[in-house]
Amino acid sequence: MNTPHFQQIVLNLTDPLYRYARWQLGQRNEAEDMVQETFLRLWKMRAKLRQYENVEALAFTVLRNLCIDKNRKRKIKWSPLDTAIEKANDLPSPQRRMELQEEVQELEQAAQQLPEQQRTILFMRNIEGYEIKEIAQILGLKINTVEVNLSRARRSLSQTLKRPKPWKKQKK
Amino acid sequence: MEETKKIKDLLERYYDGKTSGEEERDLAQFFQQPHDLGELETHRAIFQQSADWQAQTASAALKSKLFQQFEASSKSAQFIHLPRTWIRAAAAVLLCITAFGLGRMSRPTNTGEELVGLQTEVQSLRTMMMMALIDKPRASERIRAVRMVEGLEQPALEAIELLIKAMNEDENINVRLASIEVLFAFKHLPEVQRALLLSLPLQDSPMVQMELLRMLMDAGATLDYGVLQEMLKDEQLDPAIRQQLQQLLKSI
Repeated sequence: MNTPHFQQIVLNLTDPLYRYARWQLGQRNEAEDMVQETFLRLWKMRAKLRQYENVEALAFTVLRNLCIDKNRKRKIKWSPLDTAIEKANDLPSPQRRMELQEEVQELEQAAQQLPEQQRTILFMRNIEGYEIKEIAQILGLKINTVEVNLSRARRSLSQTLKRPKPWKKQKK
Repeated sequence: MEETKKIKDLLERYYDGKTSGEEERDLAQFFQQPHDLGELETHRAIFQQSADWQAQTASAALKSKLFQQFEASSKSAQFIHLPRTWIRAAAAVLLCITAFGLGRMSRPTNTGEELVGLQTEVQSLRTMMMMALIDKPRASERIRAVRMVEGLEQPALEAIELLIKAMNEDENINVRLASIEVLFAFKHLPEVQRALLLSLPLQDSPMVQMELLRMLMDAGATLDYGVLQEMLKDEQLDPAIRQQLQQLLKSI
């Protein structure tokens, strides 16, 4: 693989890989370090990259392993994202905006509790929009396994929203 | 009521992991509505979370660092090819920083210089924004990227190259059409005329081909007999395009 081709891959994958690393590690700096490390590893093996049918899948696999290693040593240290909710002035009410922010934070915490495989599948589908078949191919899983894990992850998160919220006024 | 039922059904399948990409985009769009969604409001956060994550990008510092790293590695490995895409990104950042720096530090002594400084800043910013948006997954964002160059008197060569790339390679017909339209403003540049001509056989849409032909004729471009002849050999060529090409060939 020549340099421009490799650089095109880097250009296309930096943001998705960064999101994945941040999703797995929780911190911007750590996520960026892992992305850099991933590209370094790919760069070192660039002569062999042509043998891989899907370089994107390979990049995700390398990064995933790096994140698993990192998380093995400690718990995820999550820092909040710069979200767009505060700017969404057109939501029904300021109170609803605040509630929504709290709910999203709850979802973030719930997502951290998911098993690693479910977290990865959830990320690939919900955030990057990969098709189930593609996820199965990237992770080396059966389509049915991906669907089952995705369903479990989504239902776990939705359960979080069904719990009573201390900041909400309970209806009498 | 019917819509609520449809969304509920979709949600049920969504939580089962059975929805298609298109159905999930429909759901995301539904939950972007600003008004209270009644009993469905409880699901809004699920889609808001995904939207928040989709908006996250790596820092410019990381991208610049990666660029430097691979450029250095590339030089040490004595590669012949220039890293065009990364030069593009870094050049945009550098251009912007320089333009801002010059704009702020030079304190122009008269209005003319000030105006030129401002124009440079605007051009750099728009070129940079174009570069940032042109690879986005949404066609509307790519059209925005293409439109960034519109109205610029002397766009950077990189911006023209990106427009040509979008015209030739973008999967979305509207992005390609927008690129052609914007490129037409630079029809005085020989490389643009050449690119419009060479794009003809690359297009699979008769609509785009027709637009290109119209632009080429309006631009008074020097037409290449060989390129047009080659296109006529294509048996799948749209009859209207074939007719237009034959007329053009007669005029060469």
